[in-house]
Amino acid sequence: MKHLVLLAVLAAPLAAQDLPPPLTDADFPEHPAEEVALGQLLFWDAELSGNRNISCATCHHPRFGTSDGLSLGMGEGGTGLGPDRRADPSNLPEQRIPRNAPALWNVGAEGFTVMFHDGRIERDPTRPTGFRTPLEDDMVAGFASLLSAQTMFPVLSPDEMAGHYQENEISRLVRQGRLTGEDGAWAAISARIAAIPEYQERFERVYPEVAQGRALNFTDISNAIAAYMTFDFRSDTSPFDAALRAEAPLPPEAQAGALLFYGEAGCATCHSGPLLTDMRFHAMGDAQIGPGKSERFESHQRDTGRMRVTGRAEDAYAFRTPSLRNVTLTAPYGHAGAVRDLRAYLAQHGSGGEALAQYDLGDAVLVPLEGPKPDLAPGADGADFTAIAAASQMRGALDPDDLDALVAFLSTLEDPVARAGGRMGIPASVPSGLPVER
Amino acid sequence: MSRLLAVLLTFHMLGTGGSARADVAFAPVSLPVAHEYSGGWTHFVGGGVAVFDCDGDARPDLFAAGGSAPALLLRNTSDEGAVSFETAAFPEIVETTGAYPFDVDGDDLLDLVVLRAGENLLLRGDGTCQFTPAPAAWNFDGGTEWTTAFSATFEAGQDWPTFVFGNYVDETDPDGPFEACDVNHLMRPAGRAFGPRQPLEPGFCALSMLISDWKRDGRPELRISNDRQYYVSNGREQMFALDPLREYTEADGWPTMKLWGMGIASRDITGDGLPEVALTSMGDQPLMLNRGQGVMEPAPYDMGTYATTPYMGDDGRPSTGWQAQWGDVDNDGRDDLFIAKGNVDQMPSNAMADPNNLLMQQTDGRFVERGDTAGVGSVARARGAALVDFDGDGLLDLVVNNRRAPLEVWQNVTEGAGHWLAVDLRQPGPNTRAIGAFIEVRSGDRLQTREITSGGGHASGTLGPEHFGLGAAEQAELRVIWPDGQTGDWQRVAADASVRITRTGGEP
Repeated sequence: MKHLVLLAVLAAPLAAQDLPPPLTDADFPEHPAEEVALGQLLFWDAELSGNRNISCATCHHPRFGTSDGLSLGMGEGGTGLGPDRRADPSNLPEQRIPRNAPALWNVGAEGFTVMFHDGRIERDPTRPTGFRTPLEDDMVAGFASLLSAQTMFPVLSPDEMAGHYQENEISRLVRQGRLTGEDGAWAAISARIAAIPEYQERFERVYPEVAQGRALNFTDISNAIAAYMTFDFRSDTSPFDAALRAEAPLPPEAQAGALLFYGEAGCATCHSGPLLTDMRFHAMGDAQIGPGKSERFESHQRDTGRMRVTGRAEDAYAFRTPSLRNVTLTAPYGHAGAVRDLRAYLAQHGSGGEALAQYDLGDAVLVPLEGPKPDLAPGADGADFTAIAAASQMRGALDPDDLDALVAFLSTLEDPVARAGGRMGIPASVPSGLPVER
Repeated sequence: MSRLLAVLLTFHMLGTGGSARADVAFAPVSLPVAHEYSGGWTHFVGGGVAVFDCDGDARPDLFAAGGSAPALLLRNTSDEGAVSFETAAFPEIVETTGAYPFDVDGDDLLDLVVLRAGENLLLRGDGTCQFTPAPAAWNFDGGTEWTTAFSATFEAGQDWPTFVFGNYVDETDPDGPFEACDVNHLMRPAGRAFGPRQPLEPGFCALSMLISDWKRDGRPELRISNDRQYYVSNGREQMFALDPLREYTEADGWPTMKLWGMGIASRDITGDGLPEVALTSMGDQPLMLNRGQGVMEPAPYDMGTYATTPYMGDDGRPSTGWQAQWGDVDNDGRDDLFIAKGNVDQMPSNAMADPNNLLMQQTDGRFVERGDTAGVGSVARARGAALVDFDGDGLLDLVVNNRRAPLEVWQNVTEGAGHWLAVDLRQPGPNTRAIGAFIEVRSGDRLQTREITSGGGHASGTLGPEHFGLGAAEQAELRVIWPDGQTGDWQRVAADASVRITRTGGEP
């Protein structure tokens, strides 16, 4: 491989036509500044969580590349941020969040057509509404974008934001299965927000229907948050973007990796386009740690990924190709965040599941939590590593020089704007008066 | 090794090639009204049907709970080979969750126990499908609870039935609804009337109950399937001895099992005379095999009954099971299993498009999904259901009550089905329908055993002739073990007919 790469470098430097087109303003919906500002306050406000103890930013924090720096986050029942997050002894989380908190860079871009690691919210022209969502025919109308629809669901997750059982009025409705309508969980959250005068006033300024007397809907909240994420987490000013726009070549140390990425290593087969994702699903043989995508009525610790959405056996253990933008800021890696180091992740990512047998939980970043299930359960009754490896579409291996080259290339995807924490920064306070996590 | 493989292969080919199987098929029946089981959270569960002949024309009629909407009674107007119904006059009753037919007073006319979110009703049937409230002298106490389960029997020496009511969440508990399960109630006879209600504790949000002599020792016991969604952690599947009333514990060898339990279906499918139970839940739908000596164990996974996730469509989330119902829908002599499926309401953890299962038992005892090809894989939020021969053609038809979607009836139009037998028991009152009896049907080397029970399912009860598939057999032998244990003689009966076995005096 090494020889081939060198030959390729000498013979054919990366040509413009090998690279995707750049992102432009046309890729991003535009939103009025007041809507974005309202969305920012909501994104950072723990008022949206059942127990008023966790905001969107808790697990999507700019300090951790809009993720949380953990393999598997601790949502409801945790305190603190990132690797300093700890279980609250008075409100112990029942289990870790089963998947790595995805980074939010460019989630508002038009090309971002698939949400969550398994695409359970996605554009789907075969459905009457044009969208797949977990509520299917019962999904409410009024969300302005795919991103807005996505934003409606973490608030309903007992482990993420809602809380459990009868801890609060929202968790109670969620566990009862009452989500839409006047007596559903979304209405209960909206009522909380509307009861805070500053929010009500801001919504009236931003959305004329609310000013005209229509009660606040959760879709208003999610639309504003989506507007904020679209603006604040737009990231298209990295060295890679400069190369796409032919403003500056990739730094010399990144050239070999780019050739590999767009050539022989085949990365761009899936990590394609300016977002570096095909928005499709692939079984890559990543290690599975934590509780798995397993409801309380299930005993296994598997995460069959896309198959749990579609029911198709051929989708087993397939996950959405993640965008690689700012990948150097978004560790740990993989849908379960099983590997903290990018180079180490690439090594196992390229191995097609063969490295699974050697997986060491020390590669993960997990904060202490006693749960009913072990974090590492590779057996057939647990995460079933054998099945993961068997499903993997990845074959082959990368040698150490390839790994160095790829890391150098991936580093060019790091945007100074992202490194600085986005375009807007952290609000000084939020209208609920609840603390802002810095 | 290769020789062994060859032998196995031969057996396998014999096993499938040796029995031409009918392709089971159902056709939708148009109904005179669009009826839905509707309402708010109180009607997320329930949605039962009761199937029984209320006018003595040997065509079973159909009650469907309506939730917040009025309950529906449909009179069966079927001709053989053509299932049809007409609406029948019925008192306007709302907040119903389900119903069970029962001859309470031994007049051989079926009455109806109507379960409600609120006061339960006991309606006396007059044999013309007219129903009136039970006479005050019966001393029926309908309570005020949110009732979701029922079972009944005649206890030894009594000439009035014993009723058990299962209640769900105690809505008056200010700390509810979780960990706020109501107590259940037992109503024993006091002469020819009910005595006062006795609490049956602890209650764990019962969604199905069944009194069954599952050990075959002549002492029926009460199984209760409970919903962990509301008892949360401190609850279990329950078994009670009735006399004296006592819950079994692990010390008695009753293992702790926790389910999102919604339905019970009892049937001997292994041919040893001991009834298995199919239970419904979220995700896995457990089938418990009766191994004798009071031991039940989960069926092996490859038996094909777990029906964990939807088998068609594009929703891969776990299923939610409600009514389970056994019946031989292709009359091949092997009972098949129908499971009504559907999301509770808006639980995004579980499939929204969740098709009903029709699991066809194969010659090797395994079950294969045919809900899709048979045409009954509706993705509505199914609840209660029944497999009953509505038109007397010997094929089990199907009714399913759906939450927030129209009631569905399908006529079984399977071509090339096997022979069949329907057996209807009568004995002198009070227990005219021989609740607690066992029917044994012998054809070739196969023995089918059927217990007559009242209860189980998901808020749904069927009382009428018991249907048996006979496969290629054109005749069979049957005998009845009456509720008091007296055993009748084997008698030869021709297939493809409904027979009534009437017990006269003391001679079986």
